[in-house]
Amino acid sequence: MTVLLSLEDAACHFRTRGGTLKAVDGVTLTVARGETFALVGESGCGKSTLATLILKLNPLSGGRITFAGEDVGGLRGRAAKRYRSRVQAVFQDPYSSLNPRLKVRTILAEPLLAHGAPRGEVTAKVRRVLSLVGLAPNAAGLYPHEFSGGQRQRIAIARALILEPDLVVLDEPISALDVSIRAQILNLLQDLQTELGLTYLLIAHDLALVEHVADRVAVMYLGQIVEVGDKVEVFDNPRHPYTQALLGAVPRPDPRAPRASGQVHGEIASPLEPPSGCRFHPRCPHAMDACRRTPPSFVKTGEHTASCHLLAPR
Amino acid sequence: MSAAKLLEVRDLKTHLFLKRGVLKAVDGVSFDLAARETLGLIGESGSGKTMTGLSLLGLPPKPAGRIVEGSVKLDGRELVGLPEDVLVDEVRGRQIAMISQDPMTSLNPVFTVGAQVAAPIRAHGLAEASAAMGMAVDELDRVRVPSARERSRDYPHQFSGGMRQRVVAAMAIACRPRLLIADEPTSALDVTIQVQFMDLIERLQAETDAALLFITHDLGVAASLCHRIAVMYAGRIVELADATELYAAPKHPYSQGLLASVPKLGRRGERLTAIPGNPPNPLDLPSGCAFHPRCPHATEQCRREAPPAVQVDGGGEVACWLHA
Repeated sequence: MTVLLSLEDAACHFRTRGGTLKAVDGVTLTVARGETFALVGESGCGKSTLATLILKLNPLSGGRITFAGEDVGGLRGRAAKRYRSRVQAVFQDPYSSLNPRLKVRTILAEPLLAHGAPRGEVTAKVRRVLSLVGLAPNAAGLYPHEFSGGQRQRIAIARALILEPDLVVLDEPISALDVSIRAQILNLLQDLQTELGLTYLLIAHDLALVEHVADRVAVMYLGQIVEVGDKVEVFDNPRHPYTQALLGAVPRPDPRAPRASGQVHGEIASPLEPPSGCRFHPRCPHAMDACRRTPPSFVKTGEHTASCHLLAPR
Repeated sequence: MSAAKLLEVRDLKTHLFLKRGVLKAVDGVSFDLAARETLGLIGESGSGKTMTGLSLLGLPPKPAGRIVEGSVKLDGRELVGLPEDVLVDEVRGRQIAMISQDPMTSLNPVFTVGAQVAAPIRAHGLAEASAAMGMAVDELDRVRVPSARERSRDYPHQFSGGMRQRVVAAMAIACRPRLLIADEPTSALDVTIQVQFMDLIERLQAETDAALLFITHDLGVAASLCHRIAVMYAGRIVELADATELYAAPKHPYSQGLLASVPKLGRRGERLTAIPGNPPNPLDLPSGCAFHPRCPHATEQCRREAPPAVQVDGGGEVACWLHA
């Protein structure tokens, strides 16, 4: 596997009136070219903030991000601009991510013109990308409000693809869409990946979706990764109690399936005052003394890594 | 369910009279509900689920919305057409209560949560001010808000999302309603909190013998909570069946499409079967069966005539010409 993106101890801290908010606090991971790497976790775990670091929308507070061998944090000017053309994003809500006053043609042409594409090429490229995402050529002359939610998300995908990026960050790409059209968009994203050799960083809270499309999965809790590995490994043999709890809490669309159970109590702590030791310990059914005192280190088995004192060799 | 019917809804039609035309938000909905039973109302945004719930409370959005036809009977008493003051005094919050999706908008930010849970108890004359506050604390305790007495003096912003939704639940059950309507109550919650809330709502229902109308777009949540499920599309119920029957053998092509299109845990690598097309424009519904432009089995008859609901094997009802 060729590594496309790697993060080493990446951090993103915000200074607030209530103290330092450590939204991302020491994340290390690698994303291989051509794979779908999923980041899962509950709201407030820092997964979207992590995406803003990769998109260079927030500065790193610590650590390092490398993309295709280049140090992303050090990129300035033209090099930074070129990086931004290679890393694109699709956001959750296509009602707020598209400018309502621009025609689709302008929305799609904007990135091309910003990155210096000759005007003569724009029309052909717009037409090509529209057909790629399954929209008719006449869509270019319409405004976003003239489309349904699913079609709008196709426009947002087209905008992300028009610069022919290597990596696309998909931040909850289907959760704002009507249930009956989610599968259309999901299938489209999978087809585009095969066709164009794209690498996806998928941010999602829906574990069934992640199991369906991801190759590898990282589970985040309070700004840190608690478990990462091959999808099959993580879903078949979850090792961190938080991953186990997340999987156990997913309600199955089958009334005969065992009822989802609440293995963890309480709620996620404030990232302004993360708990001592293992950040999950106040909610963990297996918490021991060591968990309250020391942060666990990562224990690696093959390509599957988790940070939990239960896994530490005795 | 053979138990006596608590709620009987017959041919309910709620239309919104807009400048751009008439939006038939609810267009001929019928179902029954017994005490302690949970009926799921599932469908996409715009299918009429929420408007059905609001219509039961006599609260279609003003001024455009109106119940134009049909009947809603609670314990045999007709609610459609009751004067507003009777609905306020005797029905809303007393016999029928609602839990909505966003606890931040259903709670008033300038009153303590104790005062808000006590409000319906006082409004319905179940207790005087001081006693009502004590009862509110009991209700907060019942929904497992930790340190209920102290927390009753806090304001909504001092609670987390999951705790706020518990406060809303306490408000809803404060007057022991016969029918509880929960409109996407867990959609804004994380899964680990969602499962806690589902356990809570089931326990509250058992403790108060209430019937529960559970509105959701989440097929997983509906499967875990509901005894029976009604699938809505474009203002109508297209299929109503026992939950096990519906998930095992959906009969309506829309129900089949929905179930085939959601990713399921443990089924990796399968390509999802997508429902083609887009949800219809509610102001300009297709002729005949509203689902026909997206249906793989559509015939000429589907384009011409809306199918009636008929009984099918397994005890359910389906509105589809394939089964008529």
